[in-house]
Amino acid sequence: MDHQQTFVRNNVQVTGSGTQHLIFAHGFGCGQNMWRFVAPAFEEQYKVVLFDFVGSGKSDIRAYNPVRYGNLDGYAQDVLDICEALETRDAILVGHSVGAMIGILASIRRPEYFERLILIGPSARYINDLPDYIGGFEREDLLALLDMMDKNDQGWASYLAPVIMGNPGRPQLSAELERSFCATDPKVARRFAEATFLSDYRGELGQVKVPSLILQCAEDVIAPLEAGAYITHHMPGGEFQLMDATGHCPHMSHPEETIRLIQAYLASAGSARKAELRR
Amino acid sequence: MDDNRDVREVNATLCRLLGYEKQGICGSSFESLLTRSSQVFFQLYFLPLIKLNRSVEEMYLTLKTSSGGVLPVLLNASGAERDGGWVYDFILMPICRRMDYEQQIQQAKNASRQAREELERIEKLLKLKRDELARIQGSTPVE
Repeated sequence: MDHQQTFVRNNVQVTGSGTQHLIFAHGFGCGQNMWRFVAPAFEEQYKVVLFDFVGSGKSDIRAYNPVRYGNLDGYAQDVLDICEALETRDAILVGHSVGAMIGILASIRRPEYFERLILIGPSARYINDLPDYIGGFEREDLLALLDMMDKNDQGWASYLAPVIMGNPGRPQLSAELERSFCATDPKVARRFAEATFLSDYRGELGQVKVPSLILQCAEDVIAPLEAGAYITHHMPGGEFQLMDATGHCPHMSHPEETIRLIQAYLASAGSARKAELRR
Repeated sequence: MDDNRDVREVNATLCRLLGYEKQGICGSSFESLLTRSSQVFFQLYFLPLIKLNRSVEEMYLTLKTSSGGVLPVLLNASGAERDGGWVYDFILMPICRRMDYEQQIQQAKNASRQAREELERIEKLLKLKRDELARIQGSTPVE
């Protein structure tokens, strides 16, 4: 696959100045549009890279292969393909939720592509494995979630279908565009959900060679405190930061805090690197 | 619901359906009314969609009732800026009967699939017997 094909397949958008790439990997649900409140703040200092995983957002759905994307390794390959297409060797990857786990897997395979990782609400396993591990879910909860996705995929609950309607106070065109940005193929989303929520990548964490920041929300019903703490303890070079933000999507609900913490981490990492160079 | 996901106001009908007093719902988080799977679905889809689109239409969710039961609903929501903050108006439509109907359809579909499989099995058996009969007739000299 040549570079241009990768850019089209994953709807890669590069903005901003600077020399270093800052890659944002979205989580489950929508696509790169979820970064819209956070990404612009970094355009002055970095080459900001946004993309959609195949099957999400405005990616090329024809590239969807159920075998390749049957587990998270296929999605990690998407990230590596993009790094290769960008010819980057010191990228900073910001991943949300499953996008964080995908970033971890990509960095294990090709550590030389990444300088560091910023992981927002990561979880290496969602299902409890008591007494040693709290993921937050029982298997039945997740099967009920998959059932809920199926029910929402039926004609009478068509939240994903683009509906043309007036949006008071906003031009209709932009409302429609936003809606389509968030569109996800329900069949693909279902399979992505299975690959995400039934996975167990705890065994891989020890192989990480790239330093990272773990941003943990308070009161996160999807990635609880225990899941974030587990990753921090089992991943070499992991730094833990508890956020004031609640919920699972701080980059949407609390963009200012998210931006501030990422900037502070990158600034301290940058000065540490300079100090090392001086020695 | 406000931006902190807390319920500001609720009508008597929903209180009755859920079996709670009004003061028990107001001020608590909307998520706390949802079943576990719906809490996740709400985080994954509802919150991003309402942020990006300011409205959500016909989302299927299930609520917990005070007696431990489940209330399936379709949720319509739209956001508006009021007094300097975002407030979200929800309309919940109970769909218990709809769900019964869906279940009946599903059961009927399953029954029809089983009947079709049974028919295929019998047809296969019949073909086997016919072939056998033809063989027997073919090997027996006709008088």
